[in-house]
Formats: sequence, structure tokens, C-alpha cells
Amino acid sequence: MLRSLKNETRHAALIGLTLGHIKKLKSLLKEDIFTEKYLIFYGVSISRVIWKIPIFYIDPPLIRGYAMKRSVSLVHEPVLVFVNADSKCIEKSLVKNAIEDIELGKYKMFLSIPFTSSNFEKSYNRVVAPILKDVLGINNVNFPSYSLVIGLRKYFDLDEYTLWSYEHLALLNTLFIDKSSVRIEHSECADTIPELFNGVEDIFIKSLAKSIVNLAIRQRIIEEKLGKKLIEGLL
Amino acid sequence: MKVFIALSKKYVRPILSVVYMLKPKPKVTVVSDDEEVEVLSKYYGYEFKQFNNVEQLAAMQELREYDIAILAMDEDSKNVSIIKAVKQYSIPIIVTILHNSNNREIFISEGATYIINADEFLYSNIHALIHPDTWVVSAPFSALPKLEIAVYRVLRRALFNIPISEILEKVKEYGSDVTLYCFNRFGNKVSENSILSTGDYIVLIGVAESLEKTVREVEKLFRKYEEVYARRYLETIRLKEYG
Repeated sequence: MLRSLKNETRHAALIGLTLGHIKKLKSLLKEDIFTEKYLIFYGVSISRVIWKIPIFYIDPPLIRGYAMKRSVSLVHEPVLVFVNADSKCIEKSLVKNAIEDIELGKYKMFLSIPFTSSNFEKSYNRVVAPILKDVLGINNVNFPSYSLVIGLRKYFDLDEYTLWSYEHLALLNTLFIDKSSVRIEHSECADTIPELFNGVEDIFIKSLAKSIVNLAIRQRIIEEKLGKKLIEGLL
Repeated sequence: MKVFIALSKKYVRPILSVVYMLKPKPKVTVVSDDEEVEVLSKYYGYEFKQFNNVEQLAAMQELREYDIAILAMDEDSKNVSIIKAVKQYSIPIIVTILHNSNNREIFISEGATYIINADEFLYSNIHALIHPDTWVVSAPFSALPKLEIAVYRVLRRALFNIPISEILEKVKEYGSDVTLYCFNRFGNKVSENSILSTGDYIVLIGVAESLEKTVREVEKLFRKYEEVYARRYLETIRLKEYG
């Protein structure tokens, strides 16, 4: 029965985050299954990027977390598909299957294909991973960001905000409500964060750690005293 | 008349004070996600509605009766999503503030009638102050998008002793509907018989296409003077060496 549904349009919005180097994803971007499509350009634009689907330019540039947060309010569909449009690893079938599973209610959020670099990982393992493992008891989120993030829109509507990995906040927001509702698929292929971001990893990761603690305090997962101690430890 | 305003705290003062001057007094509804706006709209005596997400606006059936919508949120993405939400009520005039000039086409395709480009104002002002000897072209009135103004601040090119009358000739030749003004650094008008000097401003006003053409031609004139100057300079060096 589901096979027959495959070619129909979904109530899903595609948000492609790009720094202006789209290669492999052209065919996915042209796909008609999405009712709303936007490319979000978060690079520093000197000249305009020309593309067939509408491009939205985000101010301030280079802040991926802000671009994700803003694009949530830009689209109206219930399912959001965030892809790193510069990715070399995303397959069309992976995206389609994940949307189908989410529409069927198997899970509420799906993450795959790490978007990472060695410096980012070092910083992430030092600062964020201990908080996730020891304080919150979450073991399977091993990378600083992901190239493919699919989820229900309501979990992306957050007061908190972080500079790079907004998907972590949305993910935790889902996890705090229901532990089994998230799927993180591990893949061998990984995208690398461009060299452009060398030297600012610590700022991004610290901002993520702070937002995670704040979110946990707001959702009453940890006590405020402990949270304040954690944040003081970061500074 | 009925006016619908989506407002962020950043734009409260300029927009509400202008709307307040309208006569006869229109019915005004202000919506916002900032608390500060509620205080000010109470002060002006306008109806206020707080909204947390755009779906609440899409459900406002009474929007069908409104004549004008002014969207002045502090983010382009918020403005776009509000246009999308209220589009179904077919409000005849939608005025919106644009923060990143590159997003202009998205606004046009969503159906904004007038787009006020806040970005361009900042850009052209800073550009004209920091980069002398370059042309800055901008469209100051969003209701007249074809009317453009080009400004040039003279610094190094004052060396070439270019007479203003020659620029005026070029303008007359290539842009019949373009007007030329020259000001000195104190903001006083300079007569046609004088020569360009440091700190002078050349201002051209006209319709987009012919203005661009005129700017190109005047720039060519400047290049010609530059070339003449360079050649003369080279010759003096040669004279010193061999002469």
C-alpha cells in the first residue's frame, strides 16, 4: 500500500543549508515531493548565488544554528527536512524513507550522516559529550552536527538557540519527552566542515553546551543549582 | 480604512507615529511577539494582539476586511512567513521591510506590493562615506523603484582638473532625462564653470536604465583623464632620463 504513496507529495518542507557549493544534491532539490522548498544561504555573499529554487539569505551569516532557527519560522509544513546541501553523502532514498517513517509515526526525529571535522570533534568530546553522558545519560549522539535532520516541526520551536548545532537542541527536546522517539543512523560516509570555520570551534561548542544545560533546566531534567555549576565550569 | 500592522519593537516609533497622523483616523490592529509593542499600541489607542506563531495570524478571519498591511518584523524570515499566512485574505496593499537586499525576489514572488529596503539605505550611506571615487547607486523611494540616485565622492580624481561643464555635456548627450548636481564638501552647490576638487559630490538623479548608462559614460570620461595624466607623467620621466 505504501509503495503506491511513494510518488505523491508529502507535507514536508525541504530546507537546504548551503555555503554555495551544491554538487551531489541537485536531483534531491529538484524533487517534487516537497510542498515547500528553500535554500538557506548562510555563507558570506559577495555576489549572489543563482539557483532555480528560492534562496533565502540569512543575516548574520556563518551562524548555522541561527539559520536553522530562522528557517523553522519560514516554512509552514509539519515535517521539516534539514539537509546540508553541500553534502556528498546524502542519498535520495534515505531521505524519502525517513520522511515516510516519520509520517507513519515510527519516530519523531531522524538524524544521519555526520557533518564534522577533527577539531570540532575534539572540542565536542571534551565539552559536550561529558554533559550528555554523565549528566543526562545520553550515549548515542557522537558528532557535533549532522548533514541530514528530519523531524516534526513542533520540536524545533524552541526558546533556546545555539550558534552551530541547533539539531542537538531539537533532538534533546524530543528525547526529554520520549526516549524511544529518536533514531540516529550511523553511516560510514561523513561530510567535513569547511576549513572556513577553523579556529572558532570552541566558541560554537561552548555555546552548544550552554544551551543544552539551559534547555535541561527549563525542562526540569536537572536542577538549577547543578546547571549553574556546569555553566560556570564552561567559562 | 483598516490598517493591519505586524510590528517588532525595533520599528514601533517610526511606523506608529506615521500611522497616527492619518486622517480620518483609521481602524488599526497591531500584532506582535514583543511585549514592548503592547504598551506603545495601548498608548496610541490601537487594538493589540499577541502572537506566538504564525498560525494564529492565519486564523484571523477579520483580515478579509483590511485595506493595507504593514509588515515590520525585525527578521526577513518572519516577514515572509507572515505574508504567506495573510496572503489568503487578499489584502490589496502589502508593505514590508526588507533587511537583506538579496531576499527581494522572494518577497516579490510572495506578493508584497511595496518593499522598503532598509539594507540598501545603510549600505549606500556607509559605502559613500568610506569608499571615495566610486559610484553608489540606490533607489530611495520604494514606491518609485525606477527612480534612482547615483552619488560619487571625489577624492583622488580631483588631481586631474576635470571641468564640471564636461560632465554636464556627457549627461546631456547620453541621459536626456538625467539631472546633474554638484556639491562641495560643505553641502553648497558648485557652479558649472568650476573644476572638480577634493570632497566634491557629484549627484545624478534619473530613471534606472538611462541613469546607469550615464554613470558608465561619466566613468569613461574619468578614465580618459586618468590615462592622459598617466601618459603625461610617463613622458616627464622619459625626459629626465634621456633629455
